[in-house]
Amino acid sequence: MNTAADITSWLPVALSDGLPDGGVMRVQTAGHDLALWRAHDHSVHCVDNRCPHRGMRLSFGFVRGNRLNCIYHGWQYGETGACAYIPAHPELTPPESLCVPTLPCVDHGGRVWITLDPDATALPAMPAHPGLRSVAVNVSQDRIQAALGSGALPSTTHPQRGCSARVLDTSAFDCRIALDVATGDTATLVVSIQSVSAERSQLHTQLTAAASVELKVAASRWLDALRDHLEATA
Amino acid sequence: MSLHLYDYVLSGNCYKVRLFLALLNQHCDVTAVDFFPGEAHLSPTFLEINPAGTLPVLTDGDLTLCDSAAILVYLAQKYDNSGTWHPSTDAATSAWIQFWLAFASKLSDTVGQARLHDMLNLPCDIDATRTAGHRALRELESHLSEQGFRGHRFLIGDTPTIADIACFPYAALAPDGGIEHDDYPAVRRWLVDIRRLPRFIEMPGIHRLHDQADDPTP
Repeated sequence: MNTAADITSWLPVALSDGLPDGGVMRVQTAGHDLALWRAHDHSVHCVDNRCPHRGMRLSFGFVRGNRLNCIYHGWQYGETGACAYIPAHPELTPPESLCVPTLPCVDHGGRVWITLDPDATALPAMPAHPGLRSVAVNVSQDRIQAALGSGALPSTTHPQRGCSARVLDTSAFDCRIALDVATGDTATLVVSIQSVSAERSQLHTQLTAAASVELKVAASRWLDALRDHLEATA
Repeated sequence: MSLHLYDYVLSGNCYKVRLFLALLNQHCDVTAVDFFPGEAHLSPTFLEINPAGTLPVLTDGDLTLCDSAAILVYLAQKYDNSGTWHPSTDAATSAWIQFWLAFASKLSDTVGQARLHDMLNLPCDIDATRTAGHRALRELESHLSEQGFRGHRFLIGDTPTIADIACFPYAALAPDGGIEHDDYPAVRRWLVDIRRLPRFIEMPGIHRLHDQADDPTP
């Protein structure tokens, strides 16, 4: 059953640029500990962050070809989560019961998304803007959304890099913020908020147009200031 | 004349020297010092070599050097034929090298201190130490993000320098002190780029990249 609520069950957990081919990273959200990885065929995958063999975090593992390898004993998992190979028993075909739970995971709109809802509706089309950076903030997602909704955003004051900011619009997936830089340049920042825990979040940010190094640095310093502002006022 | 290192395998500061020697492909004799639990660095014999009782110590003929940053500067200037590990092309580059050598001490005093607390039970205010460690990693994260905008993979430009070697070990070992890397994507990318360098060597807690070569067959 697809309802409107299903759409927002997708959580942005990384920038597409932040997870290169062969990359593995840990993702925490809503009490779930997950490993996010990208195969060399460019596909993205999300699994429970626990090797069923000895409980090692799979986010400590590594990718060869299109398999995630556990760092501890090298057990290999394919895209379905089924164990495909056990190095200590090279002749053995691993039984189907040896598998790690997977979550739906897509690379879409310049971000990597997961959902805890197996019946979630596909994400709507959205532009794949280039990633700027992901910033961790020790504040809950709700408080960040409230702060962005209030429109009271911080400014930075550097004579070249200083930015004033205003919220342009907010959707179910992200928030667009206009930055006016002291040099007269402008940029539009797309901020996707991921809840990590009741006290922590990540902001996955993109710029809507190609930007100079100076403009990216200005936006990046403004994000540092936004993080500090959110943490100071939480 | 030959290089001689007084070494403790679990010390990030000693590893800076071992790693840099390996990257330079430079041979060095090594004496293991039983820092823990033997406290051999405080023994009268060792204090004759280094009255401060700290590790690492590098000797080269009559020269004795007792600080990892000083040792990195010396090895780069004397044994790096490429001249890229300690570039002194202009005043700003030299100053930035000094900045990151000093920043490496900040990492030792924060994330490194938290690791000593968790691993060897050294007393400290662990919450304050971890908070200071996260603050240092945020500083590193912001800088490395900006380096990424410039297309630069390392702390100074797109080739590694002793600044990277000085900051790498304690940043990499942060989880040993309860400071996870989860919040620092640019730092994680940089740690991988350093581990990808030719002739990279491991220490306990910092493993090589396993994704490049096949394991030996059983």
